[in-house]
Amino acid sequence: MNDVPNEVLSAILDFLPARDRLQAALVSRRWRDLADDNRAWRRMCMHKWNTTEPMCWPVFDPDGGDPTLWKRLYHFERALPQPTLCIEQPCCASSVDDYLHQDITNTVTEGSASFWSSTGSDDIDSSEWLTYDLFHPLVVVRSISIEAYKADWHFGRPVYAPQRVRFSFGISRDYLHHVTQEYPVAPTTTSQVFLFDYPILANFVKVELLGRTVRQPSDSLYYTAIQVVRVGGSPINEVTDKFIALAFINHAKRIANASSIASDEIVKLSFVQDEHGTIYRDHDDDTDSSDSMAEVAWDCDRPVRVWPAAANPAPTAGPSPAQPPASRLFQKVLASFSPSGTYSFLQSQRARKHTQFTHSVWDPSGIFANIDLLGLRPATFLTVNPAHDSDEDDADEFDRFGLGDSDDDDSESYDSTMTDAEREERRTTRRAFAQFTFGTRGEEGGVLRRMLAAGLMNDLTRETARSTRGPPDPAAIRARALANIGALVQFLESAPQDDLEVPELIPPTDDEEDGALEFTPRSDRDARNALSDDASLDLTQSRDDNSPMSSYLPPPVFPSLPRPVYGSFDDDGDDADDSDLPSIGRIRI
Amino acid sequence: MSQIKLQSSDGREFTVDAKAAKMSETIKNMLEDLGGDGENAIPVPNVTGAILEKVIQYCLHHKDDVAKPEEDETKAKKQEDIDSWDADFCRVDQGTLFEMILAANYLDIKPMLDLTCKTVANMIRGKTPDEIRKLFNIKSDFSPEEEEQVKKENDWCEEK
Repeated sequence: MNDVPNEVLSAILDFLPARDRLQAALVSRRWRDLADDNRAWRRMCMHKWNTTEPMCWPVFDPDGGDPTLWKRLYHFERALPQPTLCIEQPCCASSVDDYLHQDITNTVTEGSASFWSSTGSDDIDSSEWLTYDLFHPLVVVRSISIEAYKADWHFGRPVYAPQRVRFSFGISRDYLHHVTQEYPVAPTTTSQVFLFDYPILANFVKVELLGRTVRQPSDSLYYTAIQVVRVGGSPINEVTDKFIALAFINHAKRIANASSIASDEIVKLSFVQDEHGTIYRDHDDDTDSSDSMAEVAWDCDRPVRVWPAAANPAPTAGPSPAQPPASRLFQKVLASFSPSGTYSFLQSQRARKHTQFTHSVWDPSGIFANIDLLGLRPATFLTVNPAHDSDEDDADEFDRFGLGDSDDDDSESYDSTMTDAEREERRTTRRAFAQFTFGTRGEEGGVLRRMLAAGLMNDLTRETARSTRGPPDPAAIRARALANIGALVQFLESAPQDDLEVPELIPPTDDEEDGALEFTPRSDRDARNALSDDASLDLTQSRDDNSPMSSYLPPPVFPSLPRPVYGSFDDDGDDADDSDLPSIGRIRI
Repeated sequence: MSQIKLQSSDGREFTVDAKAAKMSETIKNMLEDLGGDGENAIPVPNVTGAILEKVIQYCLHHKDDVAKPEEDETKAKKQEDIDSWDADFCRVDQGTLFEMILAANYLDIKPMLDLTCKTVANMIRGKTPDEIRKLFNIKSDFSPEEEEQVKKENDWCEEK
């Protein structure tokens, strides 16, 4: 055996299934080197996934990067937690809805009898589509299931299933990088699950319902009706193997590069994840796993998705919901800071009447990794929890933020979104992160828009101040991550048209240890005046060194911010202000 | 030219059906290069008579096989069943088997190389690293740390 040349031994190993191949790697160094061959594992992956799909996987460069990448990918599912439902509500669109009450949002409502229905058609082969945003910028999709709708009250109790179904996936809405085969759909109401053996990275899913099967008795037209669509998968930050996570991100990066997303719209993000699962910025931009700071470090070019703006091509996937005014607020707030930062998806949780997701941010130089989540998604409500130090009652927090005018509903809903543990943690910890909760809610009033702005800015100011103290110490960051949380500002986004006043912020005092989060609401006019008098409030401009803020604000570290990306931030059509990045004082809601 | 002569490394000469001999890409190329006239034996320097005999046996049996299309590079090789003639053919001691592999490799007879490699792979299947080492008389040159490292990396093999 020892005389056998490597090529022959390789050929022998090629006939071994994965398990035996791994055993063979334990025989000797030579065997290991041959058994670990990346190309061979790539072949095995392709075989296992039964795909040569060009857009799907050649981008995993078999020669570059991690030499054991394909071996890891062979069982990539091991690095994934139990799949969760990944559709973000209510961001979805359909080719057509029959009635308002039969729209696509019905397909993401679990446990209800509601459904989405197409309009009637004479053509049995006509198709429809449904599209969904996923709750995380990068989800590894494992399965999609659909349930066709059975109309019990129609003659013959027909199931309005499509003939076939096909799925497309995109990292962004305007570029679908992977289209699956067509799958037949059975005329049954049971959940039909379509499993994907290979990893599909997506933020956006299009479900094509091909053909129709049943005529509605009343008008003899063909309809398709779907009761539920579920997308199962795992957000990238839950991938436990950092090499796989890195591979996925690199893959996504290439997809983004191949798409129409302009390079200046790609914000470079660099993440580091500590063992608590918190991802924070890696100052070295270093993917080297030996980075002492990091359990997991990786680079990510993540496209900033621009909500329909003139500069952006219209999504091919269908009409997008109009952008609520508050989303533009976030764009404003965020655009005034660096497009780099930290992003953590702490948890997703289901609350009583809605689905919500919590994001936590530790962001020394900005909150910008959340741009998609904040500014570009029409979330129907958003909660920000800037941390505080005291044991103060939550209601007091509202008062402290000038939220006395918030109605009782807000307090109640606030309570309902928090577990006791969270509340306890909130009480006992200090501010380090801004925590955002997104989700859907009914028609509850949107009162606290200004508080959100205030909380965000205060948080940013605070964190920006922190960042001047040099590269974060991992232990401190960890402690801070644990020590996260505080007061709650709850923001209900119901998109009223009125122009609310934005409270002005008083930046933290130099005694940060005791610097409780405070701000004083001011009228918009005051804010503008204050701005003109005090340039130090404008983080994006050069600052007067004698100003009180300059002592703790960092140097402007984000000169390369691709400003035009965000389009116009001014709601009031004041073009003059658009030419500069909005400053805190000028932001209006 | 329906017959050609092959000469093994130990001087034995074999007269072989040309079609069978041309299953070997190496011999085929040599014939083309030499414009062989059938008189002079083609030397096969790396293969002993005993092994060349096996090779010829294989080629004669398979000379009329329809050539399989080239396997897609991206496809993993399949562990197809080995038919009974081939299985019998490979029922030799380990030393002979490896010589046959080397011969098939040198003579570039793809189906024979696949067959013999498959046979060896079947010997490896289901065995622990220790058993494999014993089987092929291999000494592990791993340091304990290295071995631990590989084990850790490959721990998921337990699952399947």
